[in-house]
Amino acid sequence: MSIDTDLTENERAWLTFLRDINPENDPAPTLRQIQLLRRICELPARLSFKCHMVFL
Amino acid sequence: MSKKPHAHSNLANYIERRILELKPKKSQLQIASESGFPNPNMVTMIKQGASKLALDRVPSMAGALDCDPAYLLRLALEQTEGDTAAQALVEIFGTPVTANEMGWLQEIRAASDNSDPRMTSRARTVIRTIFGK
Repeated sequence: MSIDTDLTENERAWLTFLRDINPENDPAPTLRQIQLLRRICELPARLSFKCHMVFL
Repeated sequence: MSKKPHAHSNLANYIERRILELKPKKSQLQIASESGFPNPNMVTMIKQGASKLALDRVPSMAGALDCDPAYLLRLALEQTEGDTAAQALVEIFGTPVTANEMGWLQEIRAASDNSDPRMTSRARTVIRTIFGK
């Protein structure tokens, strides 16, 4: 078992939000949800890369 | 004072749901016995919110309900509002993180290349979308 003091402040904020929107259960990440999460997290990286290229 | 001061608490709701989900596999009597309650009515009292779940019963009850003990402990700590010992535990040790929550954090770390992303309003929208909320 882990405790949330092992986490960064940002991770605790993610966790708090996850708990707030799922107050009555403890959902495991599904493949579909992970795919969505990755797609969305990759988006800003791609955009910043494109922006970087524009300024080169 | 209400006879069921913990009715509708997250813990009471969760235990009621788990008992229903486990009904095809085990009876409430079995759950009470596996949890180590000499009086089987104790599970009914916890489920209905007439009684709190004692913290020392969390591991055995989590086993009986086939759920993550960290999750049950968090719900039990939530229920102990006003209990200074429980509050001190949370203050010093933080709240327990379940295996599923660790799974989410690992996915967030992997998806963000370990960049420790901030919880922005966009991230909130994304998570709400992922959960359909």
